[in-house]
Amino acid sequence: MFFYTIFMLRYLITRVVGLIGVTLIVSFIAFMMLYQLPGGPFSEEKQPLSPVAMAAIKAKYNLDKPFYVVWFSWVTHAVQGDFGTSYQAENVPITKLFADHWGVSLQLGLLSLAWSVPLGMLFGVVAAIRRNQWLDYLLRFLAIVGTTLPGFALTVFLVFIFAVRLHWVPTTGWKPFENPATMVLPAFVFGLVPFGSLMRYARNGMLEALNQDYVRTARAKGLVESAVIGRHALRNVLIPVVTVLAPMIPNALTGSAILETMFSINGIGRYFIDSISSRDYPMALATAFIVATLWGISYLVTDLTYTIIDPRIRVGGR
Amino acid sequence: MIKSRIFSAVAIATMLAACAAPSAAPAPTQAPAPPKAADPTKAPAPTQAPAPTAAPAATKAPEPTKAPVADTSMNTVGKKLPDDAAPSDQQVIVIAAVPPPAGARMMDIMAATYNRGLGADLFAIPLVRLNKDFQVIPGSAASWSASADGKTWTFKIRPDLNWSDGTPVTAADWVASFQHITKKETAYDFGWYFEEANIKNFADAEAGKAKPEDIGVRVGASPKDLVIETTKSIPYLPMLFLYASPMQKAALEKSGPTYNSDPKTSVSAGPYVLQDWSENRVVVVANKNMPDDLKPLLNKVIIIAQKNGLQAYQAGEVDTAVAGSAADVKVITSDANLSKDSTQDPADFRVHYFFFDMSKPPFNNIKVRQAFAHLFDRDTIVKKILPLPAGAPMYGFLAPGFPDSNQEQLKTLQSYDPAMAKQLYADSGVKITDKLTLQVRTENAVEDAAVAMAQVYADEIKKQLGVEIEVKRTPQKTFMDALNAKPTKMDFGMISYGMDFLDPSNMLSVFKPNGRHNWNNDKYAALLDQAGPETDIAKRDQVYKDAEKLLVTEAPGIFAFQQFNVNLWRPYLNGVTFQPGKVNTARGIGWPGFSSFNLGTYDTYVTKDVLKTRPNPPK
Repeated sequence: MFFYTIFMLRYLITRVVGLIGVTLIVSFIAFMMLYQLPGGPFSEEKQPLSPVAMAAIKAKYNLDKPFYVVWFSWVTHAVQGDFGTSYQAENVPITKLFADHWGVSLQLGLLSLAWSVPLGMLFGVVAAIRRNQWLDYLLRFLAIVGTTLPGFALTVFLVFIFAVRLHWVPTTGWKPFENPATMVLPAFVFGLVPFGSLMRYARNGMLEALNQDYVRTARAKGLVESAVIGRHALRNVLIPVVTVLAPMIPNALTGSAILETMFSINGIGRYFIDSISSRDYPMALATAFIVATLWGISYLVTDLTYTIIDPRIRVGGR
Repeated sequence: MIKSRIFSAVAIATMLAACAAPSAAPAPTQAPAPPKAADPTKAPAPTQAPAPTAAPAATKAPEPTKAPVADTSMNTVGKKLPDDAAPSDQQVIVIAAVPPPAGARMMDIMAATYNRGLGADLFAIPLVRLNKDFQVIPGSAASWSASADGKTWTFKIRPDLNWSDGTPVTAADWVASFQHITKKETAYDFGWYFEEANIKNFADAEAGKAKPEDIGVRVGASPKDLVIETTKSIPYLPMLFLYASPMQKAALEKSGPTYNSDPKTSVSAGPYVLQDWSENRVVVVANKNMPDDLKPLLNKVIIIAQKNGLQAYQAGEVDTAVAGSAADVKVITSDANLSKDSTQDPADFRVHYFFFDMSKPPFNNIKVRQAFAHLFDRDTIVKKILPLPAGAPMYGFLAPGFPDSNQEQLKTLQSYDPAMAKQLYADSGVKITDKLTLQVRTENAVEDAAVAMAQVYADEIKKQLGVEIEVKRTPQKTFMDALNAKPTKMDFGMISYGMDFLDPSNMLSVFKPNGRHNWNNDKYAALLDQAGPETDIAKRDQVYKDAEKLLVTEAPGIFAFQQFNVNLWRPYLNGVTFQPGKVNTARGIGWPGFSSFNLGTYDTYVTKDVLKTRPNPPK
């Protein structure tokens, strides 16, 4: 046990160091690509700026320097907790923007996972048990709809039905305490992809498990079907479910640019896309850093979770 | 099983109920009575050569605060409501606005122009404002006059105008604001506009060759006198100062240019003060410190960032919205109730046009350009793809209603005429064998329609001239970067332009040498230079008409269509701007929108009709 603990600590330290390296590389590559895009963090939508005005803007935003100089400057400040200021927000630090807006995106993400994960798994298991029956077909259809329908199209449709026509929910906004109805449509739409994906994986996992020898043995022992499924088959469904769930969590926790825009939710998701389209380099670097970190943590947690679900699995492949 | 069946039944019932439910649009109401209490603007100065305005009628000093009484005919800041107005507690409206860029929190046009936040431009009044017909009327400046040589202007700031913290609005606020935008570290994104005013040392200060303190914007004989010195006479200069809306010197120095995005640091000398601010919801309330005539009639305005304003309007959540796409316009025109509430607003007289790189073959050949110009069947294409109220064919660059618009006389110059196009192409001696790319700038409400028109046009060129053209959507920043590159990287494109101020010099300057396009026509430049300082109105008009005729004849641009804003206004909104004007016949607060620049922001109110459809005011 002692040696295993030492081994685990070493493993964790190695993974964290690797995560820092990956984060730096990701931010470097992302910034290099963004920097190569035409246009800059200024707009000449109307008439061109004079050369002097343009020079002033380039100097202000460091655009008169090579991208690696800008990136290095950002990294040296970021490690000290200074992510810079967004070009759009002028004198507001990015850390404050995240502090102000991320909470809302977290609420949206967690709420969407709160319904989609249990229901996705439950419906997947039910669909497997009722294989090739009408309920299975219906649930599979729902899963396909959830994963394939574009969120913005579904949003327009659902808002039209439930807000414009029926007045059951407002068209936009996010007021969890003042008006909980505002949460219904965004959380529902945002949870559809995790729901559909989890359902399909859970169904396939359960079908596979139900055909295993140990399940046949359990049935042969005379266990009731609920015990066969609950005690023996379900555990094996969790491995594929955790695998597919891992990338969904960072996605959910960083909000949705489309849904936050369509529902006028004051979250952080909009910054991810807008920072690229408006060439807001400090914000784009900060978001790339956060996304890379969350994904790294998510995969680390996933690997550790495997060992809990299935004791046969050991971290580090030993 | 049973539960599943119940679920299915509920789902089906829900869908049926949704389809059967009546539209949320309010029942049609009677046409609102014309406003009575809100005075129409008195004889505004003509737009093209604003003569020094006469001193306005003396404004009464603010009356001492009276003990509160339950007088519902007065709003919360003591302004008398019109006779047909709803009680004071109903003087609240909700505006659905297009979402600004994420993070945008510059709330004043002299802080930033293209990245302004939601609800900007309500916290100071520019030197001049616009009335319904876009005519210049006094704003913060009560009057103005020019020196004999037309190069020194004195704007008299209203003596009764104070900031909400009680300090007077003085010329020093403009001086600080102009110095702010000329500082290199500000990197102001709208400098080109104020360069048009030819303010002394302005461009040099931007370039770091002069100090911001040395620009020709200074305090005059009294703290309320603002003196502007220019390097040449510009008769329409007051009109340019529609965007000279100051930031408070003290707040700018203390809290920086975003001070109006936080109620704690915000200070206002505009019709409203900031009550609550977030990136997608801003609440402003009437400013009690304003002189009576500058107090608004509305007590409160809630501005919400809405990607889909039409749905919010249909759901009854907002009082005004703008159609965000051509699809929205179709929804509106096919719904009787929505159609009644909609208006065809010329907005900024935006014109979409095709353009070329004229520095090299094939488009440096005028006959090639003219051949292309005669192949856009605008009467058919525009009417089919973007009909009224969203779009109308254009034959020139100055849309109907815009000063010196000359559409009828220009009609034949770029008319659809395939035979003439073929002849011109043959005469040019040019044979285009390479496939051309026609890039369409995106991020406009009617971009899908513009792309569709470009595609039909490309097909017609292929059919008539045998020239292959690929139509491509290009995002705005990428598009502008390619267009503005020296030399330009865009051979053939489609773009739009909307006015900044209502004078032909503004729109026509788009094609001047070193402007947006590389036509570089000396004769055209000379005409613009001649017309600019011309004080003889008739002569000036004729020179601009000649310039536009040259522009359309030589076809550096092929003018396609005018884009209208299709706005929705609840029938219970009224005010001077809700009555048809001479130029702008659209009902409602038009360009430049709900800002202190616009008379409609002050005189809009909610009529008694509101009680039929909105018994409780929004919170």
